[in-house]
Amino acid sequence: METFEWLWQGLNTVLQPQNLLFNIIGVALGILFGAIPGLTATLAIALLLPFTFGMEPLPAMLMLLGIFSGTMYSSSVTAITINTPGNPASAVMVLDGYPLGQQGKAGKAIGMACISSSIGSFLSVIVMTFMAPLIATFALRFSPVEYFAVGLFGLTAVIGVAGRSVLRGVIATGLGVLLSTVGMDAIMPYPRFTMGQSALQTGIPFLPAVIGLFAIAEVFRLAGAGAALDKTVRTIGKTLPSWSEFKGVIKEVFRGSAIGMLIGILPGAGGTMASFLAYSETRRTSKNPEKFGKGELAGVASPDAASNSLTGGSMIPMLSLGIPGDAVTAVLLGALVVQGVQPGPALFTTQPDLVYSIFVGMALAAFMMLILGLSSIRLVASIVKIPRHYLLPFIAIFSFVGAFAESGMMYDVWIAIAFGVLGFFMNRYDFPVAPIVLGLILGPIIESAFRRSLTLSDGNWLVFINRPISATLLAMAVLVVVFSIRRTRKAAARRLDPKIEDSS
Amino acid sequence: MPAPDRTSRRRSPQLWAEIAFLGGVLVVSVTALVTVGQVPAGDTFMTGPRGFPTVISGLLVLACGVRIVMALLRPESSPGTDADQAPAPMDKPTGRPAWQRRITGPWGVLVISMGYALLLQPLGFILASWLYGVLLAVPLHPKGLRSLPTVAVIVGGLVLLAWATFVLWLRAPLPTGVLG
Repeated sequence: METFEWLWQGLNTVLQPQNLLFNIIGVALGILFGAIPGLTATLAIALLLPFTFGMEPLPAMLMLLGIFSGTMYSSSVTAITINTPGNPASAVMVLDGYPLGQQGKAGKAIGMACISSSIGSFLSVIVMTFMAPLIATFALRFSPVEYFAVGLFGLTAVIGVAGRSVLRGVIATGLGVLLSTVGMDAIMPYPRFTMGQSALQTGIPFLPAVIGLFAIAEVFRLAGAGAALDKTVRTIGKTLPSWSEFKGVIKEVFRGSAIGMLIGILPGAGGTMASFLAYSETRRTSKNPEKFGKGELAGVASPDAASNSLTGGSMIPMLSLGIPGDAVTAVLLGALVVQGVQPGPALFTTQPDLVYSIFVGMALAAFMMLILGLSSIRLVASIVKIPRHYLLPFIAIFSFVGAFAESGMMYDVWIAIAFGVLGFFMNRYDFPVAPIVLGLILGPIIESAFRRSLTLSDGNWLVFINRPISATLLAMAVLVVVFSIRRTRKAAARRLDPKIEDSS
Repeated sequence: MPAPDRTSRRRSPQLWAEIAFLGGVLVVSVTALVTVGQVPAGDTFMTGPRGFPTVISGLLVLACGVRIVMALLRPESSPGTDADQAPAPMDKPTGRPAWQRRITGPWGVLVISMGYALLLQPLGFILASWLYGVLLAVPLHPKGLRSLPTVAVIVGGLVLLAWATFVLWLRAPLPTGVLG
């Protein structure tokens, strides 16, 4: 009953004009940004995060979560209209979305994507609302030993699924964790790797690092790319699917939502895995699998529901444990910390009003996405054609301003440039960038938990395997690494010799 | 189907560039491993401030070393798209003149961006950002220098929008200079 009381209070808080306005602004900005090719949810949030500096924590989070939801939906628009996914999670949308666009049904496909995104997002919020507090209550009993295990599992899971080489993932994660040790030691105050620079004593600033890794690296990448978009779908057509069409795919929307939620809870799995899994399941169970790839509406509805229901799922470990599962939630966690809010199990007892307002805000964002998304299909479809020569200065200037605005120091701008160069080279040589962000966030948590665990156990290393939760999580971490190595080896063998079949 | 030519990757500039990148990470890790020795060890090695960074930088040195050896011994096909990154949306060559392509290549943009960072304080946000935006947009524009007036106006509007948003609305500090 207490949950419903908090939810009611959350609803009242979110419906206050200022909060509602920022939620709507967030969804609108998310929809606009997501429709620009190359602007992922992480990049959009990193770029727009500086706009929340002067805000209270709740409106700031409502805006950022609105951006998250809006971006996840509208990234499908580019897949449908220009055969180019706006972000990796919508890559699968190209398979049926673009053929629908070519048949003059782009509007219908975008409309379907919007409806299924909203349903997926809304369902995931319901699950999150009831699951996150349970996990948080359970996690209140966690000692540093369990926190170390959870953090390590989060990192290994990201290593396992990010990119096609485990070793590259290990290097990226290691680099992120190493960079997180720069600055004053949290337990025994002593500066590490500060090179005598007082600015480095507080560590590497998170926001400029994220802006550099995602936004500035994207500027460098876009600069080297061509600019032609010759496959643009010209006809949008009707913007709403008919009732019979909707009824025909509703089961797939629920299936996709369930898959997305489950994948979202797993650290590191991400939207790409969710949407591809939903697509393959939908095709496998379809009565007409031969229609897939030729413009099947279910091939749009199911993966889009999956990628959006991931938003709620991925928020569960971030809010209840303070452990982000992917780059987007890592940036959102960073945003909360900037606002003076520390996610984790204690948040549910110290600031339940904020937590439940966030839940309600996400549900409202799903609803807003439906209204704004459906009413702006033609506008959003034209945004994808923004020429690169204006897009690039736009991202670049806002990136530098964002890096500068948090502290008002040029030092942060240089940090952003340095991380931009790092991100550019990592992309270029196939090193995943997300583990660096996760490493920056999880590094201090893991280190602190690890050292406290050993201190409390008088240096007994067995403490990590003597406790059941910790032992289970560490075993899972080992399994993730083993399976990832097997998977990447198979994939590498297939690349070298395409005759090798995937037995899995 | 014939087996892929392993030697071509082995000799490719892409491979050496990747190894150079890994070498950079290796140098950073070794430097961290050496300099962390100056940090006090604490009561016990692993519970003090020195232990954790030592382990991480040691692992990083090992991982980079293994990756370099693997890259040299077992060349693979050219790197594809990382699952976490958005795929390149616009990859078709544009037929722009060489000077435009050179300026807007990654290195050109890096140099322009560093120049922007250096000029932000003396020139101020508005002027420096306008110059930076124009310098980026004109070479990228298919019409090149002929696009200058249009680009100057649009970028100017964009800069003023950013300035108004941050300074007037968010009250966030922006670098001030000649024109504020």
